[in-house]
Amino acid sequence: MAKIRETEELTQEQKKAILDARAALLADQSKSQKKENQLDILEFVISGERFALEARFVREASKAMILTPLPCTPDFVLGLINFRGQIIPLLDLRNLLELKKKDESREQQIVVVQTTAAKAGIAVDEISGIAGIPEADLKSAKDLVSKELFPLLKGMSTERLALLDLEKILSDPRLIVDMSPEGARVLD
Amino acid sequence: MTEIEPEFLKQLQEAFVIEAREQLQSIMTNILNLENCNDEKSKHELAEAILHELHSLKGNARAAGILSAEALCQSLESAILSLRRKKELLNAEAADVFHKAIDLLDEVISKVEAGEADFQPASISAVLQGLKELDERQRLAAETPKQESKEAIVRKNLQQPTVEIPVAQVEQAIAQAAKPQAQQAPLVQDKGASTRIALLKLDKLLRESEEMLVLKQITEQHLDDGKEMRFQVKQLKSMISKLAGSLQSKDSNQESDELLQTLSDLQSGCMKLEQSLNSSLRRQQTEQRLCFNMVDGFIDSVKSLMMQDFSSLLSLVPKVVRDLARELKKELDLEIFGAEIEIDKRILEEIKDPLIHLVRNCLDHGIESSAERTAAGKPARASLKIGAKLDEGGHIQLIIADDGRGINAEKLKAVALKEGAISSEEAAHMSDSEAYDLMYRSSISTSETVNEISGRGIGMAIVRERIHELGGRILLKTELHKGSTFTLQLPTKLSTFRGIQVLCAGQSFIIPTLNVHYAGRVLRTEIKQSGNRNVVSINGQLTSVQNLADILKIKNQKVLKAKSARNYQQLVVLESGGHRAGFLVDEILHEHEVLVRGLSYPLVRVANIAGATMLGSGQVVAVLNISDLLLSSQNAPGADDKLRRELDAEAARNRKLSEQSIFLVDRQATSLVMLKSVLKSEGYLVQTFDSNESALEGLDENEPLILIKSCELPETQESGLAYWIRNDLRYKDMPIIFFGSHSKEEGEIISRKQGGNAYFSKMNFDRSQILELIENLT
Repeated sequence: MAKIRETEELTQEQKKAILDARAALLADQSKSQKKENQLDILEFVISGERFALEARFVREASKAMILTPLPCTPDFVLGLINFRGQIIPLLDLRNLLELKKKDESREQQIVVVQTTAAKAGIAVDEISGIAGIPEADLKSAKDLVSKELFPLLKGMSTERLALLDLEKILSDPRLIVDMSPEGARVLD
Repeated sequence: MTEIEPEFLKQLQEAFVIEAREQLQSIMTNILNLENCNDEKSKHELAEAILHELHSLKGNARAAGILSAEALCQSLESAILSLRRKKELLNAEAADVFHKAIDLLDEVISKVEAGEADFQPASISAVLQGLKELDERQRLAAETPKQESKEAIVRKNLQQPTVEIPVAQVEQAIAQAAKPQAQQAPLVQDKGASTRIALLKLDKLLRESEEMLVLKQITEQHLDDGKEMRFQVKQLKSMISKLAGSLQSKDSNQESDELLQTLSDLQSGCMKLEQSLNSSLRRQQTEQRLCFNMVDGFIDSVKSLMMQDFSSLLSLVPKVVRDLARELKKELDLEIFGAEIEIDKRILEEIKDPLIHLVRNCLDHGIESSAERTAAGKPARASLKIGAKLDEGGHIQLIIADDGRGINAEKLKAVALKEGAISSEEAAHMSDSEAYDLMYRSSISTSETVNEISGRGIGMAIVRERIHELGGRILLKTELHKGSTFTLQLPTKLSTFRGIQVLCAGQSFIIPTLNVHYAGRVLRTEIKQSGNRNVVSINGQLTSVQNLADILKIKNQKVLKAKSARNYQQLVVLESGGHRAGFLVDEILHEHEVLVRGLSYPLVRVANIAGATMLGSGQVVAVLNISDLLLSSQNAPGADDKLRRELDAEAARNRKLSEQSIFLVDRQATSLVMLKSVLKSEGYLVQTFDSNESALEGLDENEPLILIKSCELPETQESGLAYWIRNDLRYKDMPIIFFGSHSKEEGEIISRKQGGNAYFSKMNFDRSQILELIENLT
């Protein structure tokens, strides 16, 4: 509130000057981004850990959608959602990413993603926002994570933000549900 | 070749693939025709047609930069030219070489489609060499013409010419006017103007038109909402008149007279509301009919664009039969019929593999060798009839009929026994038709030795699954030594079907109406125990009964409950493939016309779930897979015991309910009347009291199931009704529910302080919430 009051007291010229300065700054940033090979990413939190996805895969980041649970599926299939007239599965990657079980009381947010393999929703605890990180900042996570998790990550930033390799994750055989009525999971 | 932009080249190659497929199909058919043709003039015409197609295919291949295809066409062309020069157009040996070349071309085209334009098949040099040798031999032997080949195995009866060009009956969609037919390649008169439309666009159009079904569902929903509103107004009216009645019976005074006046105003207000609701509903009904007609008409027109005749599918058969017959050294006459019958193009695509599998099976297992046939006193050449026809029910039948050895039920049983799929006791009691069913089990092969031909197929289990998914079924007629007939019964159009929405453990599911044998309520006491199963008699037939939620393994499910009538349970009896079983559900809701969509990756196949659909409200609902469900119900350990326990518990509860009543205590007549009518309509016995004291007297006479009382009646820590109940040894555990005008949170605190178990607010009166409270506490 205090900040808003401050701006109210500024004259028109002062405001314009500030806006121009900001615009110049932003324009500058976008130039330098291109030079440095920035990656546009969507950052989010699952089970207290920070993750990111390349923004090019993201179709929508949204709060709640009505979820239709699907019986006879493993726990990581939370159900089906209606995404703009399409029926897509909502997945919980916690197990795959070696995270703690989800907190039932917590409201889930949904990131709808599309890769060549699949279009699906991914349940996350909190969407932090869109950001750009220089590709050079990404380091191999080889020594930081388990050897099962390592191939699913594109890298980890200096601030321990793990960038997911979505193409690999969505085509991971552990996520494929292929079950006949006798109940045996074919691919596991 | 000059430099072509990669993007343009890609487009060129895509166009090449589409056209080349058609050209190749035409070439292949004409070569088969040529093999069986005895008339010199038509032979000549056929050869011309082949050369013509080959030539344009070659040109296209060169333009698109598909070098291997170009080379193959070139050699084929030259070989056919020299055959023609020699006037002996085709013998079996030459035909073999030609078919090999065509197979190879087909492979090349597939690779181009997959993006490998420069693919060089490994066997190309061998085939080219073969063609060259053939060419040279023909040139050498040109002066000494041989006798005409007699080894025509396949006699083709396919009168329809065979190049099919994907043609959209666009005009019909626009005007539903003339009915243009699929354009059919050479030799055929023009049957109306036509155009070519990319399948992708057609698919999109169809999908979008089917989405319009949602409009129908929305109008249905609105109409239902309106009807519900009318019902509520009616209830309101009857409550008002009850209230007025009970006021009138009391002493008249100023206050009550005013109240009565207000009530009569309310009453007439309700009537007006009801009248305007009625006329609005009538309007809506007319609009709904209009909407239904328009949407259905439009969807039908678009669907007719997807109709295609069987010729493209049936024209594949002669080559498959020919190749297999040569390989297996069997002799037969093939008859093909019904190529003109139309069916949804997508169904046609789906049944290609099943058809080929059945044809393979038939040649491999069904048809005997000539020697065996002669020994059995049958004609040496077997007869195989494959074709389509319309049946009386508007279904399409795809028939594969042979006069071979028939299916041996005993042999099937023996194999199943050996595989451990059935016990010897089961085998002994198995009827022949049950034994034929064994064929569809994946572990059982119909042939004693696994050979290459059976191994290449997709398996009978998958054949049946595919046909079921399409909403069709397989019928089998077989007689030992006489032959077998497989009939695939198929719908003419795909996609929409009618489905019943049921509620199970709080979740909605859609059941295809086609599979519903019975849907309705059964008396819970009618569900009897038989061995370790629960059964009920429906129309004189005993049917097993299970809880749908148990079969679907839905966790956190509530115990059985019946909403409308306490002694009844909602039951659906489902059938598929001759099996039948009953499933208990919470509620049977509406029947909808739905568009089923498959589940998307990574959900490749989910047990018991066929797909999903979207209702008018946008709600996503899973569609059940009935054949899975029936299988699962046979193999659900513990489900029967669990249901039995629940049924017993419910029966005990109901006995209690029928003997004990609910005590309602409040000073205000309005709340008493309202609550009483709600509870009575649910089948509860109700006694009302207008003070704590009268309720206490009632408690002396009999024990209530539950006590529901107003917060407004005085209640302190030391005296009052609740205090008394909690301190009486007989009643201290009896549930008490408070209600009043406080908010839910406030009221719950008051209720807890005064020894109550729960609270509901009469300000936002919620019928189902009260019933749930009572249900949970008793």
